[in-house]
Amino acid sequence: MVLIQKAITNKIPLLIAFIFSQIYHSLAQTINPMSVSPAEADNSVAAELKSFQLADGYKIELFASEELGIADPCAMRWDEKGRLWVLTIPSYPQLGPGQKPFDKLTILEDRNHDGKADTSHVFADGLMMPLGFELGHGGVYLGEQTELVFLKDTDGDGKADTRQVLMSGFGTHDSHQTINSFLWSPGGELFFSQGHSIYSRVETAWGIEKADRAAIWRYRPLRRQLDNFLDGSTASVNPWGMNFGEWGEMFHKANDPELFYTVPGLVKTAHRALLPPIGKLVIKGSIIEIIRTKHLPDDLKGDFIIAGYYNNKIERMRVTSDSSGYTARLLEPILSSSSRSFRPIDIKVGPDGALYVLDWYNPIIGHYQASMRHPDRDKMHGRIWRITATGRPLVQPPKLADQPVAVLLDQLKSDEHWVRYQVKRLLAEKPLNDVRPVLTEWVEKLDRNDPNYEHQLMEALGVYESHEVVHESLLRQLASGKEPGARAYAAHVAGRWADQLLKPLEILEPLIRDANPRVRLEALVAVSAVHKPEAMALATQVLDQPMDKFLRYALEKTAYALQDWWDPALQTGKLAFKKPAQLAWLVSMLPPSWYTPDHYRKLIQTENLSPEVRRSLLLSLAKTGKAPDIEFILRQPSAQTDAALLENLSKLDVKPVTAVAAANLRNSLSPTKTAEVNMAAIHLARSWKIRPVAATINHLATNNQIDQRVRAEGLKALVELNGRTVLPLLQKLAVSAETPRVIRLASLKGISELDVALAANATVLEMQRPGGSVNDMQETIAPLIDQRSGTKALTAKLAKTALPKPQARLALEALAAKGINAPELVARLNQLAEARTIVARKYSPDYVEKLAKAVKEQGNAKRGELIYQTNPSCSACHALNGNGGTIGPNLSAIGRGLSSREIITEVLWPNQNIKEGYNRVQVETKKGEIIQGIKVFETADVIHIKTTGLTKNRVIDKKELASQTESGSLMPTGLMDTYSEEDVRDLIRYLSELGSN
Amino acid sequence: MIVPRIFVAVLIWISFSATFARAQTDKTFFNGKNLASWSATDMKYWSVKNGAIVGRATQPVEKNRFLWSSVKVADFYLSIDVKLEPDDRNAGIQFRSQKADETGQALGYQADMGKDVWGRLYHEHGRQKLDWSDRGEKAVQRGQWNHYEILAVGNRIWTAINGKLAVAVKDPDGDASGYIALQIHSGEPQTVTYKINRLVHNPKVELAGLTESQLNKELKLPEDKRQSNHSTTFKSGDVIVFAGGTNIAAMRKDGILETRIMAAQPTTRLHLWNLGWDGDTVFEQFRDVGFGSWSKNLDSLGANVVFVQFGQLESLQGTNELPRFISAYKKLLDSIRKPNRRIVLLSPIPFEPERSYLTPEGKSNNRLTTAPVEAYADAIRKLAESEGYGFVDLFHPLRSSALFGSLTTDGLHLNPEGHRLVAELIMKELKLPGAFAGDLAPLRQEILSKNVLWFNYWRPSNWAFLNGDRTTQPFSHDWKDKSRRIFPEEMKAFEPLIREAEQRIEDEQKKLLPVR
Repeated sequence: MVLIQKAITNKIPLLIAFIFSQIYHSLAQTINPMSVSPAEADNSVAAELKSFQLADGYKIELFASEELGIADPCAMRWDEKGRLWVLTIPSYPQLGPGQKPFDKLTILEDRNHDGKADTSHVFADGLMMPLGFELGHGGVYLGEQTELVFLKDTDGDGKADTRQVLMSGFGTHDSHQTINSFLWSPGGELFFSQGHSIYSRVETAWGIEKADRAAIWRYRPLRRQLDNFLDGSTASVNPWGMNFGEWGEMFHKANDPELFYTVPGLVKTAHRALLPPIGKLVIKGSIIEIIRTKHLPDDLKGDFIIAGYYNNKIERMRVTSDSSGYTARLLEPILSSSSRSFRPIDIKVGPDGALYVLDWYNPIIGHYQASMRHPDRDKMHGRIWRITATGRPLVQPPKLADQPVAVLLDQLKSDEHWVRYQVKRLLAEKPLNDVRPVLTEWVEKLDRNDPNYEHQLMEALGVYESHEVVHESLLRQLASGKEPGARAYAAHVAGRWADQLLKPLEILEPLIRDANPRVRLEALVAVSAVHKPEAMALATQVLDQPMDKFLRYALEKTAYALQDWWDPALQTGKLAFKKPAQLAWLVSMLPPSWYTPDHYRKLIQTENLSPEVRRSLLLSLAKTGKAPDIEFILRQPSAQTDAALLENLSKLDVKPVTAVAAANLRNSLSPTKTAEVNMAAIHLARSWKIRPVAATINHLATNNQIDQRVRAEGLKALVELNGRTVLPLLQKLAVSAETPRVIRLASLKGISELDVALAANATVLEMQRPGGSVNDMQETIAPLIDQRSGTKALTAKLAKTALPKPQARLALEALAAKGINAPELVARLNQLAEARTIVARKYSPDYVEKLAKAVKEQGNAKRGELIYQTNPSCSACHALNGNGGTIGPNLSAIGRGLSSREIITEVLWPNQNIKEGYNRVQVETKKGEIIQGIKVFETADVIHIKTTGLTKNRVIDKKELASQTESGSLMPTGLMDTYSEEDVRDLIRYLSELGSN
Repeated sequence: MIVPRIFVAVLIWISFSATFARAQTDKTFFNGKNLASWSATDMKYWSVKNGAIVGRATQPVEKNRFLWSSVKVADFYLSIDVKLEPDDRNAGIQFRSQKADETGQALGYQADMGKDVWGRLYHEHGRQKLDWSDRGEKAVQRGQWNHYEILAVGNRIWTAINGKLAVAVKDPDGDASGYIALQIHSGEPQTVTYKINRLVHNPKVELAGLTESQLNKELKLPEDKRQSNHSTTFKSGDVIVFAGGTNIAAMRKDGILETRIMAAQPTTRLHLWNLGWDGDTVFEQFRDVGFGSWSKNLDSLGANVVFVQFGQLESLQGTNELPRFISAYKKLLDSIRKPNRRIVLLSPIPFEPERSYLTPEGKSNNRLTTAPVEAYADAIRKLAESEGYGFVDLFHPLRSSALFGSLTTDGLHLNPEGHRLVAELIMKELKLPGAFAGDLAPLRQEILSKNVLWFNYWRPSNWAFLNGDRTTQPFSHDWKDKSRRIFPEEMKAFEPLIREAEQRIEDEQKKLLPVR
């Protein structure tokens, strides 16, 4: 960006500004090329109502629309009077130059209780693209660009008149990902989140809170304390929407398909690890509303309602227990719409128990897919729908406004979650002196025999929390409660009060050994907040009972979170563990920098070590140790049985291997061991270049009796150990008809590494073999293609050599499925395949327009489906209704997100718009191997790449990396070059109908 | 066999120090008996008595008198015991000096001695006062023998009196070598006795019990090379930049200081840009891909006056991290240092821990109560002095203000009252008027609207699409012509708007001029 000093002379901008300002205020009604989803012809409420297909037993009505000033609504919250506050952001996605901010927070009211809002008034105006808010402490917490602000109406005229910045420094690098989704926890903590392109730096009294990329924020208003969790997009790329279960269990929804149980991630540490999701939708959706009202059908109770903004649905998920966490499955939707402008973006149960749905109403979903100034971006409409259950009475909400504390407290017993949520917020904002005595009395008078007694105590504890009042006896009472939920919540609160309680670990100790796994998980997360060395010793006691993915995740993070405390204490001998295996686990997870080989050897002697811990300790020993330690490791019985140990050793830097150590390794290469152990030992020999075992490997590789996989790996190792001297052997094996295919392929691989010209000869011979599938052909060409200069050598060889037509066709499809852009090779293969004419289509808006017209008027979806199914390169990468690859974007509802024009561009010229997260990365290793795919995760040491071929990600050590380039799409251009116009037309028609009902 | 090993080690150390340091005591400098290697235009003032050189004037002296050594010095250490009789007279030791004329007047450094000048560094006949601190004065025993040491290595000069450090100056492009001369000052009769202990060439850098790195930390630029805090008025066309964390960033939202600066010089056209970015520290100034670094931003704006504030959030890391902070700060400032750029360091403000929570129950063990922000402020002052930057102390005046305790919103960040006080302090330090007759509100309004434009232009939302890692997405492109990027074009449209806003500021400035 050229800064201002340089650009004074430019006179054009004023004109541009003028043009833009005209565009904002005039809405083109005509369909425009390159829209993301075609705008609806009829934008009326009636037309949208007609588009709805509702599950049986429900009724849908309009609650409010643009007629009450609701245009581009993005969030809504209820107040205690039953008024609905709605944030509208027509300035999204970008305010024009010099334009005054004009986004609003409006209050809607249904005064005559007929289920329709009848009045609206603006509480705050002139807002700058805020994405979320929540009511509290007599005002509004608002996420507005870089700031978390507090708006308040101090003179009672219904309009905000003060604006206080509470925290600032939140990132704004992408305007649909700034801080959003505000919600109070049961203990009065304000949670919100940020998305993938957001980098925040916020100054607090505890230091600078840094959150890079997607993260979840927690704000404790009275302490002015801000903490972030799960940054680095480790629990969804764009979190949007969270909620708390009846016992405070936290969940959050990605804007993507995934749903998360947040709790294991609430361990505060800079260490990043991907949190496993608990379930997913077919395609994107946001927001969680948990049904807790008597009005809606009993069958719906406890289900998660999700805003399926992408495929125009209101989705429903059922969440059930899964060990210390949960699992979720998708049920039939509550509502589907055929209108592509129906975009549910917030869902809340209302005071009457009805389900209220905030409808962004826009053909263009969000952001990057279409131009920022696309005329189809709807700036005029916005709807709020109200879904009721037919034949079930509505809930009569109690009067909550201006009620004394005692009245409010009794409402904490309500079955209606809406009521309890409002009451908690109201009690949090009342003066403590008014609340405390009444609350004390209320708790004393609770009926101990009430089945909900402990839940009522939990709500009371939440009220204390919201005032930052530490109430230890109540906490201890819940900690020894009958309900697992009560104990789990007590554990959570002990963590929250870790710096205020005298002995937080004393409370947590029984809870970390609780019979219920969810209690143990909450206790573990709580322990991570107790900044003492002993906390780590206590945390590892969770290992005494069965572990699961949530507990493992939290325990790993806890080791990092508490490292500053346990590590020095351990070094000075001031930290004791109940069991040596607990220490062994910790050291295996996070090896202390001061640990010596002797330390490791001693720890490895510990009894009852799990194979994982033992393996990890042996690996740490290998990392720090010398030749005698390597001998020690290879002498271990597990070196004869644990293939994973040997595999992991092979990934370490080369270590000194003595004759004795090599002799030990020879045992692992014995044919009596499993093929897995053999192969891992071969990998180790290959990686560490252990030449003394080359003869042993040679025996295995040339022995027909041995498992073919072992032989294949043996050949590859011999290439590394013996170099070009193995070429004659490999060449013989590669061309011999008696050689099994796996061995031939391994030979091709070996030759490719040694000499691409020789490899091209052998590869073409293999390609010429008749029969086989696309997949076979892909395996045949892969060794050479994946080698530096391999494609060139193959092209050169094929220029002089013919292939049978069917083989040439297979080769073309194999290249496509592999995602290889090799125009010359493709041209030659097309020539050899003869049968088809080649149309290299050039992009032009006119062409797209013409084709789109043909798609609409003549497209045959049935024929298109056939083309899709017979073209293996599509499903190699894309999932469609649960089948196919995952490396490319999911196509299940592509027609809901993209117009046929957009799909045409995506299919024919994939490099034009690359979907977020689908950039191709290509790395070349120092050995000349080329790996291409999608980068899924990167640390300081390794890159995880998802490739077309493998189901597991390739993990590449950065030390092995020669180069890395990121450019373009993984989808090759020209996939449709051999298809006719009619074929393309029908395929597009098929794709554009995907997701329709 | 431990003993021999130590022995070997010592031998190695000795030979190393001999090879590399080459410290050498000069035996020819003074033989203790006569003035064989010394000269003066009038030798009648000079004699040797009891192994010491005596300069005596029995009559009032008209001009300064010098006794010149024939030994040339560059990097050296000189140890002398000196006594002035009577004790209110003035003398001095010239070093790395030249004769200024045929009367033997000296040109060059002088380690000064005498009433009110003890232990100061003067540049005789030249640049005059170089280090005028009173540290040496405090160590002197009046009327007694005083132990005077001079250490000059490269462009670094230190002196010590009675083992206490007096001068510590880093003088780039100063006199690199020259001669030593002893002085008796013009004036009333006096006797000065110089007992020369030793002269060492290429000495080891240690003095007054301090190591080289400790000595280096004390270095300051000489007074004539320090940035003058007096020439602080702004010139027409000056580009003033404020940089730092949230407390700086917030200034663009209240415009208090900026309004006063503009009002103080109503006929001067100034450009003022706020580059404050929440969470910026000397260790990290986070900017998104394609944004350009902190220092590059200053350059592209053509900033010639830069106010920088760091150290507040950094102080939460405690005293142990102070050296790391100072060295990072120094490095950061080095990256923006330019001949025609004035840099003024603003000290961090004191914390108000009582404001960091909303209710008594919300009180917590946050770091504000223990953070040594004063030590950070003091270290920044020293850094400014030694590097020749301007400095405005906000810490001490704010802490001693009657309003202290109610100057921040949250214990860290200034509220409007705090911003007003800070503005006053900065204006005072800049020697600009603090009170204004006219109504500043319209000027401030224009400044605020300029600042909004500036912020939305400089740090707009959607940066990822404008110039970050998502520029290829359709978002920033035209909807019909995909090759055209409309987002950068829109950003350009800000430029005339900002120009116009600046013009309106200038118009408001002029309205503040008294009507003739």
